[in-house]
Amino acid sequence: MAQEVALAPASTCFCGDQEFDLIGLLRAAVWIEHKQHHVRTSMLSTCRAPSDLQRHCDREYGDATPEKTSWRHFAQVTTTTRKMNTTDSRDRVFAVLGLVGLDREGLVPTLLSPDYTKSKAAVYRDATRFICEESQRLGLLASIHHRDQDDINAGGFTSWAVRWQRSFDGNIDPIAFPWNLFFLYDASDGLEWAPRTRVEAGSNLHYIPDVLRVQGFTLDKVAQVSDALSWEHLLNLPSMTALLASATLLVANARRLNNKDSTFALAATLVAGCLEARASASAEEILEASNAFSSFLKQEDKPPLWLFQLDENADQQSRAASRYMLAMHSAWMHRRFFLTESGYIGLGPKVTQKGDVVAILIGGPWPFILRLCEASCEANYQFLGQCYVHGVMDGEAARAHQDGNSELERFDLV
Amino acid sequence: MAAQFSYRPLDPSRIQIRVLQVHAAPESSTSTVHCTIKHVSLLDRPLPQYEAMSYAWGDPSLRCSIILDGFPTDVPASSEQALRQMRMEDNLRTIWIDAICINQRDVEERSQQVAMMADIYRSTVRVLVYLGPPHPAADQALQELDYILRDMYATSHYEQVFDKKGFWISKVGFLSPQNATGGGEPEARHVPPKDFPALMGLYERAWFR
Repeated sequence: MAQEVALAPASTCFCGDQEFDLIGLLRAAVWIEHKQHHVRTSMLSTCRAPSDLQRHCDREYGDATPEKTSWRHFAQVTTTTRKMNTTDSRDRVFAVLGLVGLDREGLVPTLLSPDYTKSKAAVYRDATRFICEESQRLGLLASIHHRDQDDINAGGFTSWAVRWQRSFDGNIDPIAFPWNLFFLYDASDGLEWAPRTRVEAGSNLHYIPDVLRVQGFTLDKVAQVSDALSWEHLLNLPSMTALLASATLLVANARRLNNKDSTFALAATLVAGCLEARASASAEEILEASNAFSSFLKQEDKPPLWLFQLDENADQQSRAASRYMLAMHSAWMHRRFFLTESGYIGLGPKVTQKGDVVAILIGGPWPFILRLCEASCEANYQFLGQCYVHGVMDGEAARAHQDGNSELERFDLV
Repeated sequence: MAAQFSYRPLDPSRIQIRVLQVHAAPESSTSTVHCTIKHVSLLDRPLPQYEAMSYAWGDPSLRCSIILDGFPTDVPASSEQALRQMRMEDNLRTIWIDAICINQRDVEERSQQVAMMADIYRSTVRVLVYLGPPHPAADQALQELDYILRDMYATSHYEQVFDKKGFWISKVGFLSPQNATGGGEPEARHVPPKDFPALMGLYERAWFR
């Protein structure tokens, strides 16, 4: 739907005989989303689709207008339009080309041109490659969430292809962090991108379609993982306490952290470094909210209320506790807390296991979890997903690697 | 076998598309939808005048019959409902609707037309979004919408945000209260006083999904 209304000079909605101006309708959904802490969660999920549409369709206040858009925007558009219905799921890629202006200025890039003889897995794979290589950024890959071990290469999909056919399911899928804020982190800062497999429109194949070749370095290997946070933990105090205890135990084993650092490291990691959507948080704010949350758990016999359930007279402490719980829910839900061999702590995909590789990849705003394929003698890896690693999110490890003149590794994602 | 409707080929070099002329019918008439197909070229000046239909496709196995160039023709039920809602009482209405204007069985034509889709929407007079059958609380939805937009325009501003390398340009905070200092909890005075059930009902329509 996004393409239609974004490109047209005007759009009117009809519901029976009643008419609505579409843009006003969409803006109202953004307004309700902005009040996220004060409205029911069911309203937020209802408003999600219209508010996503607003970003693409609102020429005045949206993210981008058709005139200004490009392949960069393509990534954003396809990510949000995945929630919308299409009869032929390949149209999730084909039908948004015009929306981002890719149909102009000559030819549609070969990788993306509508070709209904290609399988869905191939269409999504090629679109993912196009976006990553053209943008020289791997931010798009944050929207890949494997649901279990069998899902990683299921249905003929490469592990690194975005599953555009799948809509977000809050009961299984984590929220890509840091919550809509693409630009909060830059884990690969300082590393220069040297594309090896750039694909020009119309050129002959000089790459293997199923392999996405990226560069970077191995930060570490996963040593231990906790259970993933689920609704069960958030609604039931004993299981929440037990899960937090297991995370605390892992932190106690983190050799990189002394006692003083470890309190903050844990508090920040469980919320992936931010307390609110679309905003960064200071260390003090995070600690304060985390302390309020911990004391709440000790004093009360139930988890804190959600922010929207608090009445206007709620005190500062319960407000902070609720805020931390909401942030933790956004970051940790359906992810595992992990400890690496050298003592980093972080949050990774649900499918993360002991032995998986934590890699900093060029163009990746976050580190990623990869898994070396056993059966291959090449450097073939399965792509498992984005992760948060405390202390490397602003490019600290990448700059150290660069300063040490260390070589970059090649990772062939399959 | 009875005569049936068949598509005439389009000329892609002329950026040709099909549009429907939907015949007039009295309001809430239950009579069959009648349409005439016309071929137009997006290269023509002045541009051909048509409105583009946007609607939720729904279950493609649900079919309905309309009269196309005089022949009863089987089309997706959702497209029939949308056309029925849009037909006028006293005039032809010229509409582009993907399910009927593109020959869905011709893979080559479909690929060509999908590649032209952006131009089809850019050239339209306006898009008609068909949200579905009448909303039981449509008047209330309008009132709720009015309340929200009023509050929104009175309290909001917006800014642009870039990352360090200038990628991922995004306008955020379009609706942040002006006195907010970035981040932080929205102020309590902005708590919406109600749940906007009628508006939520609209957002739950399949078109938005």
